Amino acid sequence: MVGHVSLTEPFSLSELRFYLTRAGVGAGAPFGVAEDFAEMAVCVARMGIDPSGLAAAALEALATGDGVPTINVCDDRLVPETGGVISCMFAGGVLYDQLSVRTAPSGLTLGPVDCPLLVAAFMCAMEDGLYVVTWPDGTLVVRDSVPVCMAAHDVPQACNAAAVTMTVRPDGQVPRDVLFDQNALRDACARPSDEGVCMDRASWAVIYEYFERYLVPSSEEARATAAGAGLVDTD
Amino acid sequence: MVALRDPEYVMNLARMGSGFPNRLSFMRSLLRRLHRENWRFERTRFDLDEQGYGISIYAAIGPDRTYSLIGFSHYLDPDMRTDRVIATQWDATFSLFDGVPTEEDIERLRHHVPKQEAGRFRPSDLCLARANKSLRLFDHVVARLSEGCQPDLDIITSVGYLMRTTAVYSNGKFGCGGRERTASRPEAVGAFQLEMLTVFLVRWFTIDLVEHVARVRGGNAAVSLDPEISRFLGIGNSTGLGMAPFMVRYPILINNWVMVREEALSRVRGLNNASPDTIAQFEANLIKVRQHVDEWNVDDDIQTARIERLRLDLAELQDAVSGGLLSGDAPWDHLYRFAEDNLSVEMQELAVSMILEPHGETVDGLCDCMYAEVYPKLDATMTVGALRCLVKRHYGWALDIDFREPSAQQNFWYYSEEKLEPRFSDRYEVPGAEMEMPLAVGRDVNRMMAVLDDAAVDDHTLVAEFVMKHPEYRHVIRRVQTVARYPYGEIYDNLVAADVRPIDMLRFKLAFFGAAKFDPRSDRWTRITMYQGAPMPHELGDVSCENWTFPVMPSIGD
Repeated sequence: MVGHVSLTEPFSLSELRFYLTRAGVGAGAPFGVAEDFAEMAVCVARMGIDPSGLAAAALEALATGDGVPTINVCDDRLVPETGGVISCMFAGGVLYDQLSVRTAPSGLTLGPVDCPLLVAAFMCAMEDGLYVVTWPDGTLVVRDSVPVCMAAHDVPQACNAAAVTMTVRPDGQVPRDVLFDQNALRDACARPSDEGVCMDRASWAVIYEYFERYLVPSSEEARATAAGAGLVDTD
Repeated sequence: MVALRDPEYVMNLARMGSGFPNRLSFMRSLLRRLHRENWRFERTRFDLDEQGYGISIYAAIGPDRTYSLIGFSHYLDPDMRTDRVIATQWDATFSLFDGVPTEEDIERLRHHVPKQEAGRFRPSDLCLARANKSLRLFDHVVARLSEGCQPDLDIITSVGYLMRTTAVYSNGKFGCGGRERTASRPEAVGAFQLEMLTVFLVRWFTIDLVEHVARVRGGNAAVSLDPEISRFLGIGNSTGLGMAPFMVRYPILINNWVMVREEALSRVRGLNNASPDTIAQFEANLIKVRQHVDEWNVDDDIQTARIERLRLDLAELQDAVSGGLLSGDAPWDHLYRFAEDNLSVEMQELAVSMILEPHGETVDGLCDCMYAEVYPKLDATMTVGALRCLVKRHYGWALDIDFREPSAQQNFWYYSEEKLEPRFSDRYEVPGAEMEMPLAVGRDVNRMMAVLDDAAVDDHTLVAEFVMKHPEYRHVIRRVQTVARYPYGEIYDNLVAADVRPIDMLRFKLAFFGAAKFDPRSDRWTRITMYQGAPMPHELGDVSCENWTFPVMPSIGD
């Protein structure tokens, strides 16, 4: 058991959102950014991929300062304001916003950014349109908020945290070398709602460590009065 | 056509905390469905020992599928008896299983369900619940039944339930099946339908349990509960702060609940006249409601004063109705305006429930709209000028508050490290406010506007640019934009002020569930009763599933 949660059974998507939102705050992200971060992880989970390793890496990067939270826009490039590597926790939302405001976007380059798959998966939050997201180890195609194919030389490598530059092309060309066909990916997307997501033990330990930072220590007085009910009910 | 009541008028804590159940409440719509679709109910297992400890299983069999409530009843150490989230033992624990459980499922659940939050569950386990006895009533009923007598109706009335649930978890918590699993099922589309089904079945269990224990004690002398008394026994619930974050976290869902109620009220108020049958129905219900309120007695001083005022208001309403209030054009609008002009807020909201009650054909279909599959998204294309306009239109109340005054943000909401129990504390007395839940919406909007003004951000600047520089306001901007489209989803009050009563939020949500007999234990904890007066599961085809709300003490001889 880690943090009251046994890892022998999978996590629901609701649990993912709950724990990762608060872990994001625990790592130093504002609540709204942490919500987006949690949604990124859910998008990855919906693809049948355990997001915990990426989530843990993203949390560590932000908390240690390796992930830069501030971003500048230079024409079609999103770059870290102070140099270094953009935190994916902040990148997803900014990318989403920038794609939204461009009337005829030809493409955006983002990076370097940690945890590229989390950012790519957040394209599932875009409501309409075709988005082709590429980075050195992978490509993700999202159509009308649904991931339709993913091409990767090595899936685990595509899931790695890495300081890479990503390109997002609305209405881009769908690559031929697909790893999953649409049916398989559709099945993979359906799986988490039926079976939940099994998380890696070590990654969950990291996530829970940041989640715990969101909890307020208890005291005898708070225990007695802060919930509004007594400690014993015998009526 | 009568306009819907204004969102700021409806969604302030004073009015929210005066809510009453009505025919659109979730347990009402559930029972109508169960009746309409001829659901069958079977107790498929009842293995309890002489003290009432063991396992029981109740099946709800619908046209498309079966749901099974699996219950485990246990010994509970008196020193461990608490309704709090921090409890670790209970009189009974439950899971609502998706389908018919195998022996393997039952064994797995036997291991995990009694642990509640400390257990792990699977997507097939849809809801998780626990309940404790009302000791005084439970012991009284066992004693009477074992002696061959029915229980004292005054004691029954004073409590209203044999057991009360202290939590009903669902939607993916602790690994349970998420809403994604059931959202497409007709019986689960509406709000909290599976949770209401869980509680409906738990109520059945409580009747069976008390009768079992009485039979063990009394042998052949024991009797079963009179059916009218069984129906008059609801299932209690002990509600704390856990509901409050939900109210803020799901503005679109809350909007849809309230909008349905307001639309229903608008439709009925807009009716040009009332048939003699409808008026007779209303008048009969008014008599019943008066008796119901007469029987509603609590220890809390504030609520006691409200109830006493309510009794006076009901008498005044009775006089007005007897004097012809409903005889002219637009009678229901006249009645509502009479309540608004002359009677307390609590009576006004009770009047809403009473006005809707005889108009099922006009309003019941609206229940299908009481859910949401849309989630808040940030509109980055909006200009800061447009955002400022939205704030002034929907959050003027927040801009009028001086949050530099300590009392304006006296409190904060948080999760305790102790079993994640939600708590509410004085931020100047208790450390930890830097990790507060984002419920201080008014304050955060206020702060954002100050930043926009201090930095002289041009009105033509896009939200995308502002929020890139100020990601700390991403959350509040998303909320402002959401509330602009779903205005009934906001609470137009400062939720961290010194004088806020969290119980007002709890009662609002509980009224939508269908709960009644609000019995505050403090300003942040209340007990309530659900399904009091409702048919038992096996009676759904025989006893009316209408007209059971605002139940009154049955008239039964010993």
